[in-house]
Amino acid sequence: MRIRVRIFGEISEEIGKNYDFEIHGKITVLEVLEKVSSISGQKRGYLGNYKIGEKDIGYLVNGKNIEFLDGLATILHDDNELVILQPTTGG
Amino acid sequence: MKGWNGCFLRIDLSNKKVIKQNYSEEFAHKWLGGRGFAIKLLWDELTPGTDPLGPDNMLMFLTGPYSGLVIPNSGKLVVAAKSPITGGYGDGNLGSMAGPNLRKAGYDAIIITGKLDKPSYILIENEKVEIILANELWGLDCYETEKILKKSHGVSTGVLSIGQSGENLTRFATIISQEGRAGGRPGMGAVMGSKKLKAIVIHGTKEPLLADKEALLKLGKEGFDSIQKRDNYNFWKKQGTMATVEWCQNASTLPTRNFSEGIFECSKEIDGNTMEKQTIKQRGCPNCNMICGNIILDTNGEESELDYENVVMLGSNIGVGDLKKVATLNRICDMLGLDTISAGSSIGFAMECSEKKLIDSDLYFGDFMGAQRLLREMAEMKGEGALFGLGVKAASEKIGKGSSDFAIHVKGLECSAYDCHLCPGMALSFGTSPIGAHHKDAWVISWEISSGTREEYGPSKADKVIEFQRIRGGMYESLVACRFPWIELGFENEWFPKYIEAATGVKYSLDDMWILGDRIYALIRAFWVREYGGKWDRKMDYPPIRWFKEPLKKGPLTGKHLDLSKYDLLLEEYYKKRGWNNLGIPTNDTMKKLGLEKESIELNKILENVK
Ligand code: SF4
Repeated sequence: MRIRVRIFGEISEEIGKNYDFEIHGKITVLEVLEKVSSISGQKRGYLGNYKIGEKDIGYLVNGKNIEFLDGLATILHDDNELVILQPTTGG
Repeated sequence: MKGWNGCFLRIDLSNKKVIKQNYSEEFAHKWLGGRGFAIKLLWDELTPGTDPLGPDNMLMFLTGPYSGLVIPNSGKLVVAAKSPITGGYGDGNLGSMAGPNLRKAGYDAIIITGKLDKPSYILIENEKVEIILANELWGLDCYETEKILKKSHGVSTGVLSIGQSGENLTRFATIISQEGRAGGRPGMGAVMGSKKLKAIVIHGTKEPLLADKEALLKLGKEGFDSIQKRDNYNFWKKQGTMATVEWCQNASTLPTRNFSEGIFECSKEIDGNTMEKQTIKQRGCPNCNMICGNIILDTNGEESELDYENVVMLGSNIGVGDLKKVATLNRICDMLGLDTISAGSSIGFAMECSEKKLIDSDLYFGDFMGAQRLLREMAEMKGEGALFGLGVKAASEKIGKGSSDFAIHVKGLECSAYDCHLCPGMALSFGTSPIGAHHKDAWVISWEISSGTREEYGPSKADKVIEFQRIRGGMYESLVACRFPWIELGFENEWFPKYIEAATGVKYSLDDMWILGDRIYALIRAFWVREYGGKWDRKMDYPPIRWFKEPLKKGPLTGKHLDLSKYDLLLEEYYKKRGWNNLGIPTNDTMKKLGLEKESIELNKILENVK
């Protein structure tokens, strides 16, 4: 199955903006994030300065925050899009 | 006095009387400056029930001990008065050469009362203060006005002016400086227009006396360097606040078609990435090394300075998905002196009324030509503009037919650009903002969404709103410093007491700043209650009704909306934490703790009429 990852905000300059993964079998949000972290050469368990799983970054699956799903254990399905949303500037 | 000039410039326009009034150190220490000075002066001097557009309203331009010094982001100025759009406390801030020039002229604030017989402007050159006839300027837009005044008085002057909307009393007219630096959303431009005051020109050449100039210069340099070294400095410089368009679209919080939805099908056409490709230059406030105004060319090839709020309110909120068109609308607002947020909200409201056939109009969402026409009519208070230029609350009361259900405002002031169908914390922030719906004080939405607590109504939301209100609405608005270094780049709050000590010699801790914030909030709330009397109601702290009644119909959050009973509990929690009663009015104990004993006696008299 195909999973797309899109990254917004300043961290995208460090870890990239888009990833496409072909996955066989089951995969969770956490596992995809770890993949992104390792492919982009980040410290293990980190995306830029953000520790995966800490509550200062938003993760959306097809636009829905994972807090409304099963958190990092949310299972992704074919053609799902995972968005990594850094706290924004602007206010 | 060190750090402060210790002097107010009072101008009575009716009698053309100018008084330079020294004020006490005790007053300065207790209220600091900016918003702190504004609310204390309004409370002490404005007769309750004063017509906001009558001669007795006080129009004030205020600095703080931070303003105008060579330290980070110190080029702001607060403008305040009783608001003609809300009937309560109103203020706003703008960054231009006016603030630093005012300080250098030897004043901490200008307090204007009365009304001129003929349109005029005020010229301030240090001690010299003149009121000069301005018949030839009346009717001109802010750009032309400033150009002419700078030609007469020099390019290094600070010019504050109103456009046609201020002259014609559009209730959300602002005051403009330097082609697009706007301040005073709640109709401060209309207050200026009601006094027939077209502009203020300020030129100062003196320096405020400082407690430790050397230390301040050293700290200033360290602050600028520290800002420049922040991780996200370069990212901020590229897009400024415009990065938020894409973020809000992803979070379903991008106001679309009069706040009926949180996502916009053309968001990419108006976002920060699109802007980056078109930016021709950047503009900012004085003493700032993180300038955030991005300029692009509009559909007529003219320059327009964009930021998140104006792009969204004049873009997705009215269904216009083309950045150049948005830039055209934005430039018209800046020239005419219309607040972009309220203008976008009023146009969106008018378009919805028209599509629902509640008014006889051919406006529709996405109608770029119609939006331009309505902006001009609102600035002239003619045609459809005569109705919508009153603001959405007043317009909905005149239209009736259920239109108040989609009039997006709090206390009469239109909401800034965050859809809160599923952001109770941000909704509370809009609800309890001291000027009506504005994000300036407690911009908690980024925290609320990123922290994964979006659907919660728990006490942490009230805590966060209060924390932000203390920092941004209390400390920054009274120091008169820009909030962006802190919120955007993490420039620590601890820097500010150090700057103040070097400037004034007075030691403040951050806890002192939070108490000051609470004091200001309590007195602003008392002011609202004094103005509204028996009409005061805790429902005035509710966010727009649409977010409760009408679920989102598009996107991943389809079906979501705010829950009224849960919001009410959150509001109760907020009141408790603030030491306010269940009507949202500060208790006697709270007033006393905050050093407002005298004010609490007057408040008690008013409360006899409030049930
Ligand atoms: S960050 Fe922007 S608003 Fe703040 S002082 Fe700088 S230019 Fe002005």
